[in-house]
Amino acid sequence: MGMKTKISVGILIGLMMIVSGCDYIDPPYSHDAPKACDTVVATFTPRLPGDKMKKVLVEDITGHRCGNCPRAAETIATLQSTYGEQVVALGLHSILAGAFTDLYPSDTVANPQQKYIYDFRTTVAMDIDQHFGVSTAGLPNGMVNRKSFSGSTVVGYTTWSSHVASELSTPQQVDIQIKNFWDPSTNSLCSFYYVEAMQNLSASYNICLYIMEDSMVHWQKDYMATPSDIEFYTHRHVLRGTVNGTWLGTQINSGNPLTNGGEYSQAYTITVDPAQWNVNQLYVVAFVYDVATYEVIQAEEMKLIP
Amino acid sequence: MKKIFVATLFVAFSTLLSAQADTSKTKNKKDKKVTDGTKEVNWGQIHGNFGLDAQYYFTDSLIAAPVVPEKFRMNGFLNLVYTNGNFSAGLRYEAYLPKPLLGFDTRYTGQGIPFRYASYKLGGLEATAGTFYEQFGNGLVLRAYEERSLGFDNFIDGFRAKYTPIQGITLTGLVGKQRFFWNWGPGLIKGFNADVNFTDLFPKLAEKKIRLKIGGSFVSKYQDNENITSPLDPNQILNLPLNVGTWSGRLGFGLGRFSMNAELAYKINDPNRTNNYIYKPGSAFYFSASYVQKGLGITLQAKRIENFDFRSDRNMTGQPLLMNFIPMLNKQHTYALAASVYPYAVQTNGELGMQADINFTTPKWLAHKYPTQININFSMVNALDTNLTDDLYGYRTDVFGFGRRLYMDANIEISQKISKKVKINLMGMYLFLDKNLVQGFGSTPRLINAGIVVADVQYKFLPKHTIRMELQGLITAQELEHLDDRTNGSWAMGLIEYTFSPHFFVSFMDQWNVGNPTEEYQIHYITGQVGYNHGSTRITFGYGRQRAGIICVGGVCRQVPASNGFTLSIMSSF
Repeated sequence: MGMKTKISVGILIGLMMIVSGCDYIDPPYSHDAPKACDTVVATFTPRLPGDKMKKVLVEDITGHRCGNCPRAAETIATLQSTYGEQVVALGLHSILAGAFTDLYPSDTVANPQQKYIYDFRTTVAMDIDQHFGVSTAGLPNGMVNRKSFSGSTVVGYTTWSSHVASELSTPQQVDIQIKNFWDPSTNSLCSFYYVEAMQNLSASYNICLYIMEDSMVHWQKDYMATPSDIEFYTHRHVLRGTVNGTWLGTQINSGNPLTNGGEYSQAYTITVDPAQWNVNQLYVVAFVYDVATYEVIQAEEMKLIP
Repeated sequence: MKKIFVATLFVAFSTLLSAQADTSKTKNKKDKKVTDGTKEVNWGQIHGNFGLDAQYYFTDSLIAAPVVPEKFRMNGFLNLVYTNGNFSAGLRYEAYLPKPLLGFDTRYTGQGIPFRYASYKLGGLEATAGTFYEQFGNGLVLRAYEERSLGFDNFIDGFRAKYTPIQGITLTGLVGKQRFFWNWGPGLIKGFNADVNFTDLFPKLAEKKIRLKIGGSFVSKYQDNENITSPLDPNQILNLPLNVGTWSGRLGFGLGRFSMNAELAYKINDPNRTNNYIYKPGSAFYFSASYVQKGLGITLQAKRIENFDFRSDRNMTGQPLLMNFIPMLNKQHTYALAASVYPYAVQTNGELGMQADINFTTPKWLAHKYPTQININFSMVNALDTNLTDDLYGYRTDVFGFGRRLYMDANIEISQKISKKVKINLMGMYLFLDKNLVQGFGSTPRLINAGIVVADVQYKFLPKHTIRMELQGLITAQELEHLDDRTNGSWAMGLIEYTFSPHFFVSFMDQWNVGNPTEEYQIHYITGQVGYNHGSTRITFGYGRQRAGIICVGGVCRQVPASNGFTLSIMSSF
């Protein structure tokens, strides 16, 4: 072997060693997450017929620098004053909305008032936005039960009240209950859901448990205000994260059809950082949807600390 | 950081230029070599290209066009490449103002210089620092490329070295991170590739008309650990592989008019979002054989892809941060109704595909005056036949287990010159597509059978003056229950185009959703365009309605929402 060949072979082997980094994982493929639910037992009883009510999910894709977005937030406030707890709301701040949700620089020279430096954006909001293409359609925009109205799942806020009314006029198919157990010593939340089928349901259903923080006070652009930058604006219903996996949630009854009177329950635990989120303003929002159509059939919300 | 790099690059440029200027006594112009008696000064060359696509949007609720509050949007870029002997450097400025055109990922919003590099060659070594594109083999384990029409760009930013110790052997090593819009993805990519061309090494093979090449690649990705809950049990946290390795081996062989190319690739456990975090290893196989002689070309291709979506971020979906490329084995149609109503999107996590393509030109003794060109093409793609396991391994499957049919395309295209002035092109096609599965709308079947016919006539009525007319029809009866769908059912299309060579063209097109089961949605999508070419510059101006649909290039697709408005496109290079 010539000198040149030896060097080449040496380089070759060296490169292969650098490159071929592989971590083979043998079963088990996962380990236990820290558990708060270990010590908690929750029992549920079906609600009495008169206590059950249809609830609708309204998702508002919004941004702190979107000057028309407060109009959509006001629409939700009106809907909630009309229908009370039958309207469950979420405010989604998606990175896909670009400048509407982007931050201003945080240095005090360029931005002495420290406007728009709080980052509301979350992965779960981006995932939902990406799937339904909401911010592609412009802000503000939203979804009512993620249902398609006249061919479009993305619907403008001026039409929300008619869609909410029509959704609330349809019969309730499932009833959802939530119980939350907050352990301040470990900052962990154990959240139980309980779903009761009120008729035979032939499709495959998932349930999503999201974490929502209500009434966060930060800057907001509002074209109807003078000046148009509002420092102490109350951001309602901000979607913060998920309790049970990705934005798609988890299967109910392993994806099998639900039978009338069937009861399905499961507990999930997550850790919450009280420095990031105000635990006194946190809610768990749950909703059940048809996996094939993504249509939400029922929603519910429950405060973390009653 | 980006800005600092660019500034450094500029300083490096100018230092280089001024240093050379000092050695010469006369001021010279670019691209000119001038001798001052003792030294020859080479100023190098600058090349580039420029592109701009802009649209002014109108609201159009009938076609459900998204409202664009800012009315105007544009995508633009400028490439500059400087070369001087063995040295080259380049950059690209991009701007998406105030946001990318509808249908492009809004995460591109902004402007800047994402692409910049410097490179030099010395002996058999070529070293590059900065951004670069690269492909190993057929791209099964690594392909960094740009496809502007899709808004796809996954260049690698880092270092690359290519070494050719002797003619016929090429070794490539690289390390870097991938583009993620205006930032980088979280994963670190390391890659190594070797190609050996025996025909170059042993001239005797060339004498015997034997072509033989072998190659091999290793690519590895590192990403930090994170807490991801198990999709089977949210109270469990996944044990993630931080280093995921892939490798591939390939063989190219040719003998006279026959040639073949095969590649086999393997990937270790790579739980990621696209495969729903399963631990099954992945594999990919690609095969292509062809025979070519005068008047006849036959190509047969096959592939089997299993769990082979490979990205530099395990949590990414869609187009960003793809590290590899699965070749499409379907005809890339050019006629609008065949290309963009029901196109096929490659399923990187599982498919079995095959394609046969025959090109035939009638021999002289059969053709009266002008030969007939015939292209027959057949392709078919099935999903894998999988048996789900009840753990995170995911599924088991047989090598030759065919699952649900995803796509089938059988078409024939005949091209005939009738006289010096008239040329016609005819195409007939049968198509099958499981739209929901292929385009990612869920697993409920939405099966579509469609027939497509195209007639394309070109008439050169005067020297330099040509009129071209296309008539297309797409007939399907499968989608009629989707009453909400604005692009649905059968279509008819007509196009007329007048060209005054070499500078001007005008075209007018109507795509009519004549068979939409909802009468209100039997919409005419009419567009008109005027274009001007001069040298390497092309300017096109148009107005019209664009239907909602899906655009695919090489099996990679993007969704396009409906729109209505003026468009302006400028392309130029120097």
